[in-house]
Formats: sequence, C-alpha cells, structure tokens
Amino acid sequence: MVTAPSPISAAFRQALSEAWAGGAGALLPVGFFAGAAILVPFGIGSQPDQLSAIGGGILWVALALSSLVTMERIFQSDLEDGALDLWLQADAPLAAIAAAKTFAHWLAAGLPLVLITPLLGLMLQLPPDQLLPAAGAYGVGGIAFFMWGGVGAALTASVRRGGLLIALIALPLYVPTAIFGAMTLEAGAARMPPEALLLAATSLFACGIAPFAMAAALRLAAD
Amino acid sequence: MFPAFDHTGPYIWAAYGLAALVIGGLVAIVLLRARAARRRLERLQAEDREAGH
Amino acid sequence: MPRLSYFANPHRFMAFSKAVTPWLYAGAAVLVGYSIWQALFIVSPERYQGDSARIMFIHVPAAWLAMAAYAGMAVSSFVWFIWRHELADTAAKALAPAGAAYTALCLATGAIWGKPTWGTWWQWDDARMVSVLVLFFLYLGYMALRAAMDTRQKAARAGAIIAMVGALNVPIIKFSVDIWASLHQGPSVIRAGGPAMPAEYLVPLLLGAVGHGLLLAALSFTAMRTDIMARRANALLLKRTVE
Repeated sequence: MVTAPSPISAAFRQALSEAWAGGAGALLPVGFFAGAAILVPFGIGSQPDQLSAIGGGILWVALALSSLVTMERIFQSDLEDGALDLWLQADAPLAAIAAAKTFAHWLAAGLPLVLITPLLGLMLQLPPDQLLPAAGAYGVGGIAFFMWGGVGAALTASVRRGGLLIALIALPLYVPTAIFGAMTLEAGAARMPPEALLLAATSLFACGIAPFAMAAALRLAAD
Repeated sequence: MFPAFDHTGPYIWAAYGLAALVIGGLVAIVLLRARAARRRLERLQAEDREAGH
Repeated sequence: MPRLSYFANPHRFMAFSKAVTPWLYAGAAVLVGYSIWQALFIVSPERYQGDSARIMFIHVPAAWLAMAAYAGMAVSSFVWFIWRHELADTAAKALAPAGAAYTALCLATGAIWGKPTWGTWWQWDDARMVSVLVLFFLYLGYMALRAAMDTRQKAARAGAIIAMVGALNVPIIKFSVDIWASLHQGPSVIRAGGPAMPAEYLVPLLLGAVGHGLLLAALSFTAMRTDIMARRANALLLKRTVE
C-alpha cells in the first residue's frame, strides 16, 4: 500500500470484514430468509400451482424482511467505535462513504440471499427457466431495500433498540420496488419486460437519494 | 328529527359517528394540551414575579 | 403582504395566531357543520349508490386533508432544514398527529363506504385506498422516529430528513400502486364523483373541505402555541436552576 486508503474504500472493506468477522454473521440473514420462505407452504398449503403463482412474491417479501434483520447494527457500531467521527473529518463526502458502507453491507448480507433464490424458487415451484433472471431481479431490487433500510439505520443509529423503528420507516419506501419486482417476475423476468426497467428505476432512485439522507442522518447521530 | 335512510343507514351513521369521535377527540386533545401548557407557563411567570418583588 | 419569514419570530407568531385562531375555529365549525347538515339532511340520494353516497362528504375531505397535511409537513421540514426557523419544525410537529388522524378517518370511512357499495370492507384493487394506507404508515414512522429521539433538536433533524425522504417517495409510491391496481381493475368508490358531479353535491363537498382545511390550520396553530408556551416554561425553569 503506497498511499493511505481513502475513507470510502476503508469503510467499504471494514463493512465487509465486519460482516464476516463474527464467523457465521453473514449466514444469519440467509438462514432467516430461507426460514421465512420455507414457512409459507406450511401456512398456505403445498399445491404446486398455488405455490408457483405466489412463490416469486413470497421471495420478495422474505427479501424485504431479511434486509431489515441486519440493518440495526450497521451504523450503530460506527457511532460507538468512533469511526463516524473519523468519517466526518475525512475529505471524502459523507454521502459517498455511507453509500460505500451500505453497498458493502448489501454485498455481505444481501448478495447471499440473492444467490440462494434459485434454490428457494425451485422449492416454491417457480418455472426453472425463470430462476436465474429472477435472481437478477432480486439482486437489483435488493439494492433499493438496503439503501432505504440504510436510511432508517442511519436515522436510528443513536437510538437504542431501533430495529423495529427501522422497519416502520423503511417498509413504506419498499412498496414501489416490491410492486415492480413482483410484476417483473409475473411478466417473465427472462424477457426483460418494461416492468424490469421500472424496478431498476426504483433502485437507481434509491441510490440517488438515500446516500444524502444517510449522510444528513449520520451528522445528526454524531452530535 | 333523524332523516330516514335506505338500508345503508347504519353505515352512514357509523361513518359520521366515527368522524365525530376522531375529529372531536383530536380537537379536545389539542385544546386540553394548550390549556395545560398555558396554565403552567402562567404559574411559573407568576412565581417569578412574586420572587422578584 | 409581509414575507413569510416575518412570522418566523415567535413573538409575532404568538400575537398573530392569538388573533386569528378563534376565527379559524369558528369558520371551520360553520363550514363543516354546513356540509354535514347538507350531507345528512338535504342532498338527495345518489342514483346508483342510494344514501350511502352521503359518506363521501366526510371521506373525501378526509382524504384531501390527509395529503395536504403531509405536503405541509414536508414543506415545513424543508424550510426548517434549510433556514432552521424553529417555527417551521413546530409546524411540522403539529401537523403530523392531525394528518395521521385524518388519514385514519379516511381509511375507516372508506371501509365503511366500501361495505355496502362493493360488498367488502377493503378493496386492494382501489389504488387510492392502498396509497392512503401507505401514507398512514409514513405518518406513523415520522411520529415514532421523532418520539425516539432524546432531544428536541435531534427530533427536528431526524423528522425533517424522514419527512423529505417520504415526500420524494410519495409520487413514486402513488405511481407504482396505480399501475399495480390497474392490473386487476376493480370498482372505484368515488366514480360517482368526477367532473359530472352535480352542483348539489359539489358545493357542500368543497365548502366542507375548506372547513376541514381551516380546522387543520386552527389545530396546527393551537399546537404550535402549545409548543412555544412549553418552551418558554422550560426556559423559565432552566433559568431558576442556573440562578
């Protein structure tokens, strides 16, 4: 390493190592995700045509909930160990640091969920040729979930036991992504329907707005 | 006194009863809080005036 | 016409609101009373829905007020975030519970109206109902977040951020819910309305909506006055502990 690491990449790497440092830390959301999805057939019945009609939507709901499970700690630990104060003094814009941190968190806690959606989709009787395109849709939509969840996490960083508060703040913001995500699967994700573009648009919008909201919220938490 | 409605009468009375409850409750809470805040401020100001003399 | 910032001074606001608020309550009572009297006693039953259409005169103003209060909250939050006028935050804080109450009232009267009209209390196909439900959760999140903050300053900042984020998202939520609901196009409660609504209905509806708007303004002013008086009282107490 010739130069000192920029705060952006430092925050990115730190988020990744935090996620894996606890051993099975990053496996917990995967377990929650799979558990939530597997509970559904027990709740609604196991008829294959019924499952295949709603399986894609079940995974959207499970993905939305799973994204919230790991959110509570992501900025709280930065507040506690002083990393946040370092970010505030860094030259890099706080919004970029927050975006990098959230994106790394998506890689560590969101991407594993996306990677097992083909397996869960198979169990929920999704058409086999749709499994991989659907995983792509889950990946794109998951970014929006993590960005808005990150806003909730940043806003509640200084609040003890803020987990439920994050859910209350973020879930209404998940609505467009969940709608367009489910419509993309319904139209057949493999054909790249117009709904897929709308889904991507919700994620781009989240990436455009959420970092600035996170930065403002982190400044508040540091005070 | 009361107007005679068709079979939807109970729904109409339920809707307007609920409206009276929600809006009336809202007004009552806001006004009671305002009164409590005004009394507290007046009491503190009166105490300060007495202490000043 | 003085600039809005003229009233940003709490003393001027207290004098102004003290003079205006009773008139707002009076105007609200007259207009809301008139619209409800018309709705229950005067207007003739609607051709298709019969008497149940009378619920419109409370349901539709509640829906408008729910949206107007959120818009007011978002604008106040923006003003506070940029210019840090304390009164703007006071206004946002005061609008939230009133807006949430009207949103809940809109949902409840919509369900009560839906039962005799569609035969069901809740209709996911109606984009308006679903949008208002999401709006209700935006209000809940705003109020819960403010309540979780330990100082007024933090509550103001966090509230402003989430109100602005929510306001930016509202058009997108509305757009997505509209598209989603149009997939399974169902009946719409307010179809009886629209531009073809007879003047017999339109006049009491609009005057009632103005009356509810005046009530919202009056309630906000009262809540803002309460807030300012509470702050003054706290300042007095703080002064005592210092002396």
